Amino acid sequence: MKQIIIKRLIIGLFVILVVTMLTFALLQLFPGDPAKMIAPWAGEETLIEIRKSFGLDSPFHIQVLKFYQDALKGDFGESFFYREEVRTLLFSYFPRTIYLTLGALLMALVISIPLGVLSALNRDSFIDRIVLFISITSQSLPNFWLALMFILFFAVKLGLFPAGGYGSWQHLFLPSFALACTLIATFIRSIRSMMIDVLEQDFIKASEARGIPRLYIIKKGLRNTFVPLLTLFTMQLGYMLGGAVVIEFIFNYPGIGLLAMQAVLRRDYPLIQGLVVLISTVFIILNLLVDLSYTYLDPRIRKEEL
Amino acid sequence: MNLDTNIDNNTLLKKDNINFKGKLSRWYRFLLTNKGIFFGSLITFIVIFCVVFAPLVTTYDPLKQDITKRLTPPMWQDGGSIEHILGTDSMGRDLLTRIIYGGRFSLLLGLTSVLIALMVGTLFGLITGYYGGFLENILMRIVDIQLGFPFIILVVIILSIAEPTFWVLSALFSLLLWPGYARVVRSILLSEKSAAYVLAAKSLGASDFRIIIIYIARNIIPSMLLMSTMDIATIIITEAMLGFVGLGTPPPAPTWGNIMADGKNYISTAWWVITFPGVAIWITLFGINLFGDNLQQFVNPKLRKKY
Amino acid sequence: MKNMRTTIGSFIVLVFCLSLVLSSVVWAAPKGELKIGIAQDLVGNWDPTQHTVVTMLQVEPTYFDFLVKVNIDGDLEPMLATSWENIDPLTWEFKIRESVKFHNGSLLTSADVKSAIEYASSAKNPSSAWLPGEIKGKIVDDYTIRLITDKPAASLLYSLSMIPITNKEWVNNPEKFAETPNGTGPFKFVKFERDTLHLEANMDYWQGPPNLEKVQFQYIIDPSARLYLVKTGQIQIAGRLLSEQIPIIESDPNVVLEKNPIVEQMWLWFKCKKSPFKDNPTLRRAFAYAIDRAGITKYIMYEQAKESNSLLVPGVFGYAPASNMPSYNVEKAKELLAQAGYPNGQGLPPLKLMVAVGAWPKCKEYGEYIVENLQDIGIPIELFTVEIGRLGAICFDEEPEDYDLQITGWNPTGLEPDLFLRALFYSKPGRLSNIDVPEIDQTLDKELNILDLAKREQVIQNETIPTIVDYMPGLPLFQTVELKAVRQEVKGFKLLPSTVYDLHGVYLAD
Repeated sequence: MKQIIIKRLIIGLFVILVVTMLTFALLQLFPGDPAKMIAPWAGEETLIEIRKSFGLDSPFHIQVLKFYQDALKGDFGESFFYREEVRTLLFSYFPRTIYLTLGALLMALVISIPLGVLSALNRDSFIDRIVLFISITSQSLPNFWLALMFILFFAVKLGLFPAGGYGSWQHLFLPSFALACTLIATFIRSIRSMMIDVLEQDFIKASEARGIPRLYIIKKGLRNTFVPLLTLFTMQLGYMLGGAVVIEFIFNYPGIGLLAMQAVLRRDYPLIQGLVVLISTVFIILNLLVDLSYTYLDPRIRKEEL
Repeated sequence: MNLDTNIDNNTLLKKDNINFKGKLSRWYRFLLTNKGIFFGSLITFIVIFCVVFAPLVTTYDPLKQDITKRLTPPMWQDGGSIEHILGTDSMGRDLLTRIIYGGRFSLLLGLTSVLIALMVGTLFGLITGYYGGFLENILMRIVDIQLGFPFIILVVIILSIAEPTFWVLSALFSLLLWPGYARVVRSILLSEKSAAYVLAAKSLGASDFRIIIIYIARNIIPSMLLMSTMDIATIIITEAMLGFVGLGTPPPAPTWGNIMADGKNYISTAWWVITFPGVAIWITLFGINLFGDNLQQFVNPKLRKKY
Repeated sequence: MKNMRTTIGSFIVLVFCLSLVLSSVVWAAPKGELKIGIAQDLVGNWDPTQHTVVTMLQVEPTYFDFLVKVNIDGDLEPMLATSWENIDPLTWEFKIRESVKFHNGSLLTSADVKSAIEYASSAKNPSSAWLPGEIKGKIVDDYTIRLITDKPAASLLYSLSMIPITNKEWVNNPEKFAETPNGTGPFKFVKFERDTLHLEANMDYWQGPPNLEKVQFQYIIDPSARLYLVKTGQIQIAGRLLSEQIPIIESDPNVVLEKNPIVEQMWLWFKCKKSPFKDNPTLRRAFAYAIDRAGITKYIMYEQAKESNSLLVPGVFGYAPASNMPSYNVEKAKELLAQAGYPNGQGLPPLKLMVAVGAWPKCKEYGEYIVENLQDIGIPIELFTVEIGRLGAICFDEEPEDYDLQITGWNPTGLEPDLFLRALFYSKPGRLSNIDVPEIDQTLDKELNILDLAKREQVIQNETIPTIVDYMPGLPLFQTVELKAVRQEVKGFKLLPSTVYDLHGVYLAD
């Protein structure tokens, strides 16, 4: 097992290197001169100086090498636009997105566990159908549209929650809810099916016959769901990051998604590079976790195949 | 005692492989009797119908501006009229018409991207799964790199370089999706590779090609269908997202995403521009997901309801 | 006994006066934080000579001072210069205010004035667009300086209200400017973080400290978000709102609507160095007659715009409607189109109109409308949208690859006609339209050198403006009427036509 992890980590590192180089290449193709974005009205001399100060005048391979060198030291350079170290920007923005994602996870759990259990207990009944309807609905709603509807109702009309920004748990509520929607659908389905499995097992029926309270059985069943749910969650994280961009945009929530979008639109090369490294690393670790959980769940896929 | 807990439906299917007719009728029966599939298909069909036959459904021109009628409310509100059932957008264009035509773009985009992704992904998956070895390693590394690259950044970068035309968007989505198909195909292949009937066929002298195409590919179809429907849903939503932040198809062509983008500034004053495209997406996706969810029960029998 | 009473009396009087003084000092102590939501991005470059970005121009007067200041009536009053005198047609002598300190503590002297003005007017720097050529400074003594132009410049005095006085150590030193702008203004730069500029009160301000402790300018791109944040009190002032939002503002008892026409016009610019517009003013005029500007103002913008028929706006010296400004006339447009060599649009290459979505309110909407107007007479044209960030980089291109026309606003934050005419239409540096016509240059030079106000006005109205309009480098679409929502606890705030933020007298009531 350990060998596999090490092997995957090495591959992961390789992937990060390739991805970084690809980004560099893509950015060269980018129309739009970052020097001009910073000082659009400057004359040619000033532009040349600005390009020099950002190292944009050296040839491609030297730029790439310099980037790797600096990255190893932990220095990702300075953002063109914010004039702050990329490192500090990433460290301050990333946790906020984490709070958002964790908030979404929490909400999804709070909503889907009761619904999933209820649905499993009352299989094929009216309640079951309603829960399934809710599940499919939450999967079908575009989450950014839902976010806009939330703003319209809860923030503007009712004034219960702030419509944007960052600061307290209230700022987190609506965005997390919007983000939680896709999670809710998959969670409900998994919880329902796993609970059904547990309830179907013979020894459970036997225990019921002997009078052991249902709640106890439900709890036992739920315990089994945690790992699969976590796996599901990690699988969805990649997609959620994409959704988080739009949600952060709508709520003006200062997380890594919004930062990424603005960095690209502003041609902030060092910030883009830093973000690419950060996000790739996160994705790779996530994928590793997902793959490991797959083997945990389905031993048919031989381990060497990893 | 449940005697057949170890023999799940997949195994039953394999037995039926020899009996071609039997399998088909089982599937056929399932599709027709399952209520979810029925309603899901019905909704989706209605949507597709409206969208394909748009000029019959609505006589308005989605591009016709009339600035004297900007932002008129839907017909049931003050100031609305029967002329514009759902109201008009910020340039006076009929909202319902734009939504229907927008659906054309979204659905076509979804279909095209998924088809391309499916073909490319299945090919890769079949090759890597069956042959394994060095080739497989390389291909799986490509998939890794693909998955390691933050999609958002890639999308925003590419859409800033190239104009976001239909084909550019299609290529982007195919790029995003093909690893999913490759992986699924590969994993099914891996588990089928050592199945009894395959070994049997091989020992009887069947060529690799024949085995892949005839025996194994059949098992892939339900999963592929499932993935495709889910992916079309994803594409519809993602296109809407991109359009909403301004990276989608340029004006004046309507897409669900950019109709909402246009209405973003008027969220508290002309709520209908933002709301109805979202409802359209909801209905469409509801149909697709209903269909897909129930199909999934067939593919993964653990979820199957016992009738 | 009498002495005792006098002593007690005078003591009481003394205490009374002391307490008056003390209470006024206490009352005048800065308190509160004013948060302002702005619609356009700030540039992270604090050197005022390196840009012509309107948001920066609006914000700079909070931390920079100028030699002279334009008051609400449009007249010049002393600021860092206490008095001035015209020595000869080319020279003005200024007396500099004493005991003014920069934010870093150093004392303002005429050496700072000299370096600031020479640097700002140097042709190398973008800020020279506002100024009538290079201005040289000659130091007479620490608090007296002479400013010399090489030709008589009618706009000189006014232009001085637009040159921030920077510290001589800072001039030409980008590293120092990157840390802090170091001005002499009522507020000090604290930091620029996450699209928000933070300022704090300058307790040593020569006019006395301001009434606000802190000021914040926050870039909020979405007008709904801006209005919403004012309604909830998270910011106190929000600008650039939409006509559709007026009912919401007016129905809220905590928020006041401030509405004022400002010195900004939205323009449709032709790229005059690029074919097919190059050397073809008839073609440009054909386009101009095809556009329904009245419709844009009436139906799309309504409360947010006023119709415009001049290159200047009312309130600017020399303003008068231009008699030859094209109106909406489809027949005439088609006629001119044929005259220009493209009957019914045949022969024209596919054209693109560039619009930066979100840069100005509703610009995409009237962009789409203009495209439709032009398509209606047969012109093959499409809308080309870019993100705001890219606008600055490409709008000044002489021969841009991607577009042939653009919609861009112009707000020079001042009332001097050359801020519009010379900055936009002189062949150098060319700016948005890149028009290069000797006749235009000649008439601009002519009016610049006339020091007699009446004569200058006459030349501007009867010669300069009609000449430029004839060549149609750009079509003014409308004059912007700015809509601001201000919370009722903000007192002393005025939305100035020049749109700069004059916050010294503003305070927050409890």
